[in-house]
Amino acid sequence: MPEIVIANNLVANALYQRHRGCIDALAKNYPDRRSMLLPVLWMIQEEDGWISEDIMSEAAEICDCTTAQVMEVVSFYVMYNREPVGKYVLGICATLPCALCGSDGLFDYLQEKLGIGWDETTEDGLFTIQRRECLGACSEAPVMLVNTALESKLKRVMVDRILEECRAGDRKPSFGGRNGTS
Amino acid sequence: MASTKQERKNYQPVLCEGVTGTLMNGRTESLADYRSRGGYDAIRKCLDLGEDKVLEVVKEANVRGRGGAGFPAGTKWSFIPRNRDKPHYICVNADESEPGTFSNRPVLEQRPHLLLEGCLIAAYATLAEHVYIYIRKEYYEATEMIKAAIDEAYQAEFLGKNLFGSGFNCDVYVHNGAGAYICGEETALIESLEGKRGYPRIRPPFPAIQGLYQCPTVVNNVETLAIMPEIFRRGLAWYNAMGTEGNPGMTVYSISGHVRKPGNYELPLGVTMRELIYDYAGGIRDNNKFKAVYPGGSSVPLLFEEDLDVPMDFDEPKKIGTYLGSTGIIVMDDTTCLVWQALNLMHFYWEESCGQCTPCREGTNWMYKILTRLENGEGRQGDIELLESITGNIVGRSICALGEFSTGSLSRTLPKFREEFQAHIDRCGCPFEKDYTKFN
Repeated sequence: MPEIVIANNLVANALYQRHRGCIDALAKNYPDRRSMLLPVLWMIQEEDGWISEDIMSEAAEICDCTTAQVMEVVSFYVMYNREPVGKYVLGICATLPCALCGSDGLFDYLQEKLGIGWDETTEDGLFTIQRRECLGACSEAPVMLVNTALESKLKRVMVDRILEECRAGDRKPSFGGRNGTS
Repeated sequence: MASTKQERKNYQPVLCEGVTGTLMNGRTESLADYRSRGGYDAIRKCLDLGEDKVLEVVKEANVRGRGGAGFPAGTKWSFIPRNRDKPHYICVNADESEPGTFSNRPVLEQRPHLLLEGCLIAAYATLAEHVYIYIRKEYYEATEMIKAAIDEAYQAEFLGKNLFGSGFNCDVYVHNGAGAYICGEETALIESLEGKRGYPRIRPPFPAIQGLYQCPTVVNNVETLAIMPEIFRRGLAWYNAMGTEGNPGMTVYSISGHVRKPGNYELPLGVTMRELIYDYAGGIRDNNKFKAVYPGGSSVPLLFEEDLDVPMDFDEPKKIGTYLGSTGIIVMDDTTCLVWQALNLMHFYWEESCGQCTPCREGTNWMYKILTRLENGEGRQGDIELLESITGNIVGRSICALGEFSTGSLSRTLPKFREEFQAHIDRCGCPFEKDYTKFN
């Protein structure tokens, strides 16, 4: 596989400089730089929790495409956040197998407990509720993702416990902040 | 040779051997464990046979693709040019997003080496040296387990250059999606790998000629590839002894919804829905009665009481107007409102439509609005005729099958349960209690 040489003009690209090691390694996986776009967007979101238009320009430079092309991708794939999110993103599966096992009621319960609806964040910045489509765990319905952790066969008491753990800081937050690790 | 009911009862899982449940509650099979079960011996056998002979064996085995279409894998592989003018690619479809389907998940999370060996066999047979495993982002554990297994395999020199001294090179990479059902469509998956929106491509040209980076590409489902090492380990006769005419082998049926024992059930092809629901999944919960079931994920027309004895293979369901699909079986009992379930799924297809084709983009939108009105008590006389008209105008009129899939909740339902839809209009709302929507 011919290796892509990342252009020298990325010296001023802060995103590239922060994640240089990862991005150079990623470049070896593909014969075309644009293929790096989805993984690079994940790098951004794991750091900041969301993807701003400014950072889209930096991603475009790394992936040798236009900012508009990055915007196309960010707006197409629902898991990329275009606004800041809370420390804990609750991704509730709303599709039929879970809906047959109470997921409509699960959403209502969370809405009642947290006072927010779909794509909204609590005022304390802790929780965001997002809709997910079939998460591929239907025999354990109803399910939801708490950031990257799948919680299944949910009941009210379990949801209460999960929210408490989040409030106590016992679970990994949804994004890591800019502390230089990558 | 067709499997009998008794043979099915006696069947011991092979793909899911040692797998614990749906989620990764147990140990993931390590390289050492996999080797102790004959792991990585199948690829060695293939290297001795040579690329052409391996392809011949796979064609003879008639492995029907497990992603949903049932297209024979050997035929797909044979479309790849038998030269090395351009790089060839294998793309593993681990996007598993068809509602009700969770049969790839345990293989990805608990038997990653089985998949990797399948990738090696596919790459070898199609003169490819690069494999991309496209995993949906929501499958976080699966991604971790596959990456760890890849590292193990490279360390043991079961991946990389000059494998087993044969001159065969094979590199495997993991690439995550970002929440788009359409990226399970093979050309949309390719577009996504190329860093673009998941817009399916018009065919021809087919991926076998111009796929990833315009090079010859095979896209196969996780399960299709996981079967390959077992065929070479246990032999063609073993595989062909199971299943039904034209549908040899076994598959993993995922069962969910209103049953007592939801889960994955690996069985020879051709088991009936009645057996699956009552003999394996414990029957309907709470002593309720059966009403309807999706056999192949939610994208295929529903089966009803009179259809329960149809063998679930790739061919029999077509005779009654539905498909085996992804074997994602969603069971609904008689407390279920069929308008409500159509609405739930129509939201899914409307959301997931990539938007390229007017009949699908606009059609799913209109059907979603009509079903919302029906369920909320604002249904109008003529709404059912409108739904029928829209479904008729979507099928066959879009670049990919998502448009057709969106009609799965309605096409066999409206003729049989028209009065349920009519009742929503006449009674200005949903007459069902829908206790199953409650959360305790």
